[in-house]
Amino acid sequence: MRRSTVALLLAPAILFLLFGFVAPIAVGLGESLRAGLGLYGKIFGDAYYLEVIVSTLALSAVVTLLSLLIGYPYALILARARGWKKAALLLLLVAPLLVNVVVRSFGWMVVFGRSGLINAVLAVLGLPALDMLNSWIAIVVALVHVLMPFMVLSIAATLETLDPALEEAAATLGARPIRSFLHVIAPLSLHGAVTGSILVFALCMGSFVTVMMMGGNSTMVLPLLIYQQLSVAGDQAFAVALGMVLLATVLAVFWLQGRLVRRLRP
Amino acid sequence: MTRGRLEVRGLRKRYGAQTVVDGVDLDVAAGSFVALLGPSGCGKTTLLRCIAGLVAADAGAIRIDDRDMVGLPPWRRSLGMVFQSYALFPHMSVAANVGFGLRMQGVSRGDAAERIARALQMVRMEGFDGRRPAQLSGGQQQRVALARALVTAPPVLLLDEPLSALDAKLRLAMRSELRELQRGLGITTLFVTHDQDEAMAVADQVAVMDHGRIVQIAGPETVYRRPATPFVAEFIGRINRLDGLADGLAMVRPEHVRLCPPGDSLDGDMGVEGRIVDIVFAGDRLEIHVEAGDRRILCMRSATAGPPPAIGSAVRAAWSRSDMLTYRT
Amino acid sequence: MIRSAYLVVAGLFILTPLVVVGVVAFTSASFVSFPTPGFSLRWITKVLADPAFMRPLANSVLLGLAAALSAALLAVPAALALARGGFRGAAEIESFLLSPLSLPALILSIALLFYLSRLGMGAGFIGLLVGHTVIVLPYMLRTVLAVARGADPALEEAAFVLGADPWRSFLHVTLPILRPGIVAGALFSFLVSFDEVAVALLLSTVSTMTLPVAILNHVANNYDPAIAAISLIKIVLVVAVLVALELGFGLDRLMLSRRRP
Repeated sequence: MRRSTVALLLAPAILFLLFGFVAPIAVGLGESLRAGLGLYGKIFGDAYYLEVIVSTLALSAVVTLLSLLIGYPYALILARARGWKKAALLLLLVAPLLVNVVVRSFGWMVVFGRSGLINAVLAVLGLPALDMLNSWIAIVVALVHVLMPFMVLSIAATLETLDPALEEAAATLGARPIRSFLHVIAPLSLHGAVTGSILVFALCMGSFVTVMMMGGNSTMVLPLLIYQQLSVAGDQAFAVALGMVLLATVLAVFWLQGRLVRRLRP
Repeated sequence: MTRGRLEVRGLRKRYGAQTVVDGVDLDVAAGSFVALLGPSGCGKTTLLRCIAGLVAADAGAIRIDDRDMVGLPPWRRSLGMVFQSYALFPHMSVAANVGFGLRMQGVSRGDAAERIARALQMVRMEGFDGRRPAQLSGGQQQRVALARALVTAPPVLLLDEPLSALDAKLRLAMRSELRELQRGLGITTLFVTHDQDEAMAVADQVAVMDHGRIVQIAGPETVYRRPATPFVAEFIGRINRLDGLADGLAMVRPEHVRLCPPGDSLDGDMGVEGRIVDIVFAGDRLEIHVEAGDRRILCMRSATAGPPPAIGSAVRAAWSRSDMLTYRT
Repeated sequence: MIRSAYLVVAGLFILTPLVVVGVVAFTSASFVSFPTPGFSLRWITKVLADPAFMRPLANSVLLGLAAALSAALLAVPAALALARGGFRGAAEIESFLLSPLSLPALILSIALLFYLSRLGMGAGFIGLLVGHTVIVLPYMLRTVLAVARGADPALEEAAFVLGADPWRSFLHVTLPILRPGIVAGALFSFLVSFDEVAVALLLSTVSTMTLPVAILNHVANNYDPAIAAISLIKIVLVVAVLVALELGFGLDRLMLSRRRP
């Protein structure tokens, strides 16, 4: 293909992203730096904001870990399945993904709410009702529900590419299933687990709808803070500055993934 | 068909630092069947693609019936081509595939339908009009690809290793079908292959290529009996290198080597003393491997010409000087 | 077996919020509770007749279609260039075009809001369309690119030799072959846009409000079963589209392709 044809074909998409994606972020960055580093000094100098950043990181870490623990078995089962079973497992995993995050969070609100599912079960068991909605537990459960599919898909994709003969080879060499898993499968799927973890972590860092709906005003994370600064306080410049901090964190996480993945390359 | 004379002059194509086609001159008479033969990387496919217009040559001329092709994009050259993967359009029926070239030329529906039917008949695929390529076997796809290339009655037919995806028996059958078809139509055909048996079996002329150059172009028998260079001698058929036995480089074909008892007189022939180390039975012939000092000589003879000699027996491998091929170094 | 027990628990975990929403949608009560005191269609009929929900639903559908179309127009030529171009830097350009996938939408959202207000445009349909197209473009590119890469390059060459110039070759050969990828990408893009919250939240106006934003407002202002009803309607719509995806293209081919970092 001639160079000129290639350029012509790529131009619309590249230009569009430059004007609709890169430019807004660059302009935002520029704006946040207009008053020098003042805005950033405000963020990093105030204990409250630092605390919010740390809570966001902590929440994301917990959600990522739980997604990994709960999701890994699913990925294993999914990768091994065939035919209609595989399609069914996939559908089960993916269908909630394509239902709106607002709707899903609402569903969890009904589950955790005062007149919700869990309290109904507790009532049947004769136990007192719990007020769980504005708790970290509810938020974590809802987030894991929303983000786990990404973890599962990432790990399953790696497992799919593994040669089934590897396990058979391990078996002929005398390894029982558990050892075969620990020594052969797990290390090879590490790549998928790392990719999945980074993805879930990054998505969690940016998630605010679920926190807003499940946690009310008692819990604060960085994305929610940004949204509040914008809609309630009306402080666009500060919101953008906070957004840049969020962006920097996410980029740092991806850079970390790049380094880890390179070291893990077989 | 008297049209279809192909002339290539000084064709050159470079990819970065590598010259893939290095000054090729080629004359193909109208109606003849020329095979481009050579190891992978010798430039034969690139040469074919330059003629088709899929690759723009860096220098040189390509003329078909005195019409200059250089500078013309492939869609204006009106040639016929069959690809190694057949490249049948998967979303079109067999009839639509075959008729595609006619459609591009603006031929009317009625005329096209008639010509498509005749083309399918020619390759013995009548009745397959409505099928999809995915429903056809390899051999059937190949024939449809051929019909598609021929239906527009192009002056030249280009074939890029069209038989390499077929299994051995089918290949042999398709070889003769292809030959018959070409003779019947009298269409100038250029055929790229790395299989020398195939080239020798189908072509009027075999053009042997090495590192971007045509080193010899001649009929199959000439290329085999009188190879122009050591490269050609070693690429075509099997041959024994006779280093140090004559001035320059000397070689002799296995079928020209005979075995006789060590003491026999040679009558002016050349020979070496050695022992039989292996005998391979290959159906219609015997391949007898003789170790003579640090040389290995292969002797081939018919399996029915008497009982095979014993492995380990001492022999003399002999050949006449006139059968020997010598090259100045 | 442990595996079956795990699958049951995992299945329950995955489906519970959705089932709960489905049940509450049919409640006869005027407030949100689970389990429901009785069953009735009142909330569903109320929502279907309420422009405060139906208008945003129409907006979301329109926006989804527009975003899918825009993404297709941008992604199809780009996919062709990346699959056939054979030029250096193709991997980098591909990563760049896929990069919006990795970014939290909220960041794009604020940046766009700020940027557009600087340009004098502010919130509105254009801003929504740009934001959604940016988000959706990588999905479209991925599916079309996968199909383009899988297709035999000799097909277009054959078309050339048979007399088709590049435009006719594209029309008669390339485009039909890419069609499954384009359709799947479009469906996927539509679904992603239909669900999108962050950009819609900041860039919606009263008249261009999308459905997720309308639902969110309702949750904040009147927490009643209408939310469940409209959510159920939305779920039914999405499942219908999902089924179309599976029958037309095959979900596992779409989902399990390796993600690029």
